[in-house]
Amino acid sequence: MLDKLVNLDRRIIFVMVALAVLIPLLFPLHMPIAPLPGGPVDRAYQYLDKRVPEGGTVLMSFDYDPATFVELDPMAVAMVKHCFQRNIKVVAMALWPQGATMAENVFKMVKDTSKFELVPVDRNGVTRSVVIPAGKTAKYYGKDYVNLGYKAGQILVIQSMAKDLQNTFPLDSQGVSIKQFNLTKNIRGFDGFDLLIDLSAGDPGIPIWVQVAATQFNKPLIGGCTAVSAPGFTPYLQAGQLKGLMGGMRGAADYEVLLKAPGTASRGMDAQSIAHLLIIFFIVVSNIFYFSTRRREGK
Amino acid sequence: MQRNFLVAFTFICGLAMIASFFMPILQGLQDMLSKFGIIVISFSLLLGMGSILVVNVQKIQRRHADTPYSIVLLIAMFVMLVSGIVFGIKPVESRIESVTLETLFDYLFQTIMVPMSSTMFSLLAFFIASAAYRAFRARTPEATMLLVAAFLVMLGQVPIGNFWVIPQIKDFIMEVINTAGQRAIMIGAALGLVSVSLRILLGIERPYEQ
Repeated sequence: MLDKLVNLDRRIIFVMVALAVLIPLLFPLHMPIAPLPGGPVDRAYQYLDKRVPEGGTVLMSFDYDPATFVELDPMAVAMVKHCFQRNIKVVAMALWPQGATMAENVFKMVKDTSKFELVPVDRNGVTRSVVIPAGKTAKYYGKDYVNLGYKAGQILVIQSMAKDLQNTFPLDSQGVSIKQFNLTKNIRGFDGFDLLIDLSAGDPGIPIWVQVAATQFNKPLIGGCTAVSAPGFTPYLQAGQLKGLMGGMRGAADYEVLLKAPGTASRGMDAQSIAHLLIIFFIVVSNIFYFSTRRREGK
Repeated sequence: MQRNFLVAFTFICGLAMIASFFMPILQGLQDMLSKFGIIVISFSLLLGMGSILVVNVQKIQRRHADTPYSIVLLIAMFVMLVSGIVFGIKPVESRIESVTLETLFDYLFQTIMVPMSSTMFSLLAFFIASAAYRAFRARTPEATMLLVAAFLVMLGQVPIGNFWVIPQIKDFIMEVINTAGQRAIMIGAALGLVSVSLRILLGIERPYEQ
């Protein structure tokens, strides 16, 4: 019996994990989420809230792909909402090929889940005539936000755009010249941005932004990453090279709570809580079985 | 002759990039080399595609065990390539004023790539749970320490663990113990990178010849 429990069929474990995730999503427990005051997420929120001037411009790099969008999209959505609330302009870009599309998705989610109506441009870069629903605030592509798209080159792209944005990204993600847009036509390089934000799921990501943007050009930088990679970036945070850090879904949920705009991350925390508890339970139980077996065998 | 040229070219470019970091007068040279780098890396994407094509066509020709996967990979690659190049990346204007339709490329990306990628990543949760049950044993004092640390961090990371001093202990582990270890790894890796870079600049190692 004990041997059977030690070598439990993995399909039983899979079913238990599936239920631990599914049930809290279907029947939310509404566990309170308490961001740590002065913690990495609080620092990121406070920097964007207090240090970036109203009407300023933020560069947001979407360095992730669909595999990790569940963790990184919620923090991107929360930060874009925060920027729009404070009338801060957002310039999106990507060092990952799929990042440009992830940015588009984030703008769509902001449109669908906030009071902001995002007004796109046509294929010639001319603003479309869109009826703004009552109670919604219009945010215009080219004036309030722009998506520069993907550029191959990793660290070289950051070095190049630091001083020459116009030649590094001559066109936006849809092939329209960035000189046509009020937001980007006068930005020469990093000097045109009040804050840089990198949302990263690997390489290229936060380390190269720290090496070039934060260290070489002394620009304020905030990072967002998957939970599994967050421990690797704490040295940058303590050294002040990162002004804030959001790690995984918990980081995104903390930001949503600070912004008072609960989203998908806050809703996912119940499922993550139960899943973590289940894994802890597995570890404890398997160790009890393991040591019981050893004792029985007299080892 | 060719080898000497490559070594000299690598040395000059590397030295220029290092020198420009300390000498503002060389910034123009650094900018130019950065732009060259971006162009070369962009072309390397084509090289990568060519490599994938050759490797998988050879597998199909040799009737390798992975032939079905190679066929799927090549079909997927060409469908995405053609949908982007032929049908474009710009939104297609519909007859209804101010409404845009997704491009074929976007449609394929959103309906195939996004769900499949996130499915693969989410499978990790199942395998981590299974691995934790089977392999995470307190066999040695070191393994016990790792187990206790994992226990506390996992609990402190989620709202259900926000009681007693669990969040404070989790922060201590992450910000003190973890950061000290990460710094040691980072500094060690950085020193290793410097020595490898020097070896490449001086032509002792020539990865570009492989």
